Amino acid sequence: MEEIITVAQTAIDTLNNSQVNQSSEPSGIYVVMWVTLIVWIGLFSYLYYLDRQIKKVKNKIEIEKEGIGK
Amino acid sequence: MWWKFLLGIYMIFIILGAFLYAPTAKGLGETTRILFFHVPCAWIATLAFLVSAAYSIRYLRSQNMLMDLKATSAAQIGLVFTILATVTGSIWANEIWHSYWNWDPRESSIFILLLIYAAYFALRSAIEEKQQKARLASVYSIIAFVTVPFLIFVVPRLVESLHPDPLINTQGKIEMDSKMATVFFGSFVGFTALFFWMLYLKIQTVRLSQVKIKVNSGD
Repeated sequence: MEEIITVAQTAIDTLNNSQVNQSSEPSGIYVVMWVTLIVWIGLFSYLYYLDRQIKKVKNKIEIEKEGIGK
Repeated sequence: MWWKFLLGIYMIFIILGAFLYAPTAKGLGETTRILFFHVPCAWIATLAFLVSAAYSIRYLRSQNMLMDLKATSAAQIGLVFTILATVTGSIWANEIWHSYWNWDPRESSIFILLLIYAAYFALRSAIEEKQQKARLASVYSIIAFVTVPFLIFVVPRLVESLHPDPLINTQGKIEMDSKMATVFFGSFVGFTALFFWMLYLKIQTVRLSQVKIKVNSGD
C-alpha cells in the first residue's frame, strides 16, 4: 500500500514539474503517456460495458427459465 | 464488480508509474517505458497458451465441450497478446537497433510461435464435426505448448542475441532498479488480472451466443 502511495506521489510531482517545463520544452513522452492512458480507459470501458451486458442477458435467461419452470 | 474497478484504477497507476515514476535504463533512454508493457504482453501470451493446454487436457479427459471452449478462448487471447508483444518489440527494436525486424533469436522464436498458433486456428476451421474438431485441436494445443518453453526461454539463451540479458540471470538474481522493479512486477499483476477477466468475458459471450432462447428487450 505504501508503495502505491509513493508511486502516486512521485507521479503527481513529476506531472506537475512536466507541466511547468512543458511551455519551454515540450516532451513527446507525455503525449505517449496520455495516448496509453486513453487506450486503457477505452479498453476498460468496453470490457466493463460488456461485463454488464453479459450480466443483464444472464439475468434475463434466468428469469425466462424460472417462467418456463412454473 | 469491485475488483474490476480496482483493476481499472490500478492499471492507471501502473501507466503513470511506467512514465513518471520508473527511471530509464542506461542506454535505452525513454524507450525503457515499453518494457513495462512489452514483457507483460509476452508473459500473458505464455500464460494463455498454458491455460489453453491445461483446458485441452481437461477436454480430452472429460469430453466436455465447455473445456474446449475455454481452451480456444485462452488460445485466442494468447494470440492477440503474442501479436501485441511482437508489435511493441518491433517498435522498440526500431528505436534501439534502427530496424523493425532483425531476425534476432527472440524475434524468430515469437514469429515461429505466431505461426504455430495461427495453424491451431487453421486446424479448427478446417474440421466441421464438433467433437472431432475439439479432440484434434486439444491434442494440437498440448503439443504446441511443449514448444513454448523452448521458444521463449531456451532458444534465446542458446544463441547470441541482441536482446539484453534475461531479467532473472543464471544466479537467480533480479538485476533491476527497485523503482523499475515495482512498476514492472506491478504491471505483471495487472496484466494477469486483465487476462483472466478477458477470458471470462470471452467464454461468457460465446456461451450466451450458443443459448437458443430469444432474449428481446420487449419480451
